[in-house]
Amino acid sequence: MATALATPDLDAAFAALADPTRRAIVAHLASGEATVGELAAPFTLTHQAISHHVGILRRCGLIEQRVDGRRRPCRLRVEQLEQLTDWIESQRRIWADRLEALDAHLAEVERP
Amino acid sequence: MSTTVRAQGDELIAERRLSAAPATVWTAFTTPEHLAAFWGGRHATVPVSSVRVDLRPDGEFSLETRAPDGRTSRLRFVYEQIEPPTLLVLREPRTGLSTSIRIEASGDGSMLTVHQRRLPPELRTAEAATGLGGIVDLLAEHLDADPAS
Repeated sequence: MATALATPDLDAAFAALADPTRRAIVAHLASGEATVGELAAPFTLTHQAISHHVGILRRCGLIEQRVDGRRRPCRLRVEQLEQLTDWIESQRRIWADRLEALDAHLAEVERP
Repeated sequence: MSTTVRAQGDELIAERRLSAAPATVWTAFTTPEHLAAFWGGRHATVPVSSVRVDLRPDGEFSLETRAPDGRTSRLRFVYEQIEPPTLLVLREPRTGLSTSIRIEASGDGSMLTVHQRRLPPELRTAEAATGLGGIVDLLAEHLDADPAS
């Protein structure tokens, strides 16, 4: 768990993905890196609006931007995204285990 | 009978059929002795004395879990909705996580459905339901298709 995101970061990442434009940006980046201009193309949004969304995704650690001459392509930080799915998976296990124990407990209580 | 748990976006949905009647299941979720017996699952233990149940809106539900390696952690929730014997909604103030526990009569037993949401309801849209799951699928496809990246 040493590499796990702290809770506030996980919350920020989930909150960031609550926005459909930001999910679309993440989905786009899932197929490879892209500049803000390239990300803006499928939307009716301005370059500035996309920059704002990219900033939010960058601050919560889901994407990073590198410098390549005059281009600043964005790319997905896959390991961070995996932490979100790991978190969901750990919750899944906790509830499966808890309900298993509940069923066993109720069977014991109800035994005449 | 087994539990099905699926993730839909950032929402987790667990379902399980139980042979006990709804009233019995409700008692299990709202009584310290019962909660201590199952909340920690089959691995962690919960001392009965650590369970606090203040069953009213904004009342506290808290307990301590003890892992097999001896590590303990205190879980704290606040009751948001209490509709016996059908609906219990808990919020974890530390994470903002909301958990609803729904108990419905089914045959001569009950159907238990747990929804756990990471996002506040006002941020949820139909689109968000497939959000994270869809993104992760896309990512997996991409990584499979392009091992060089």
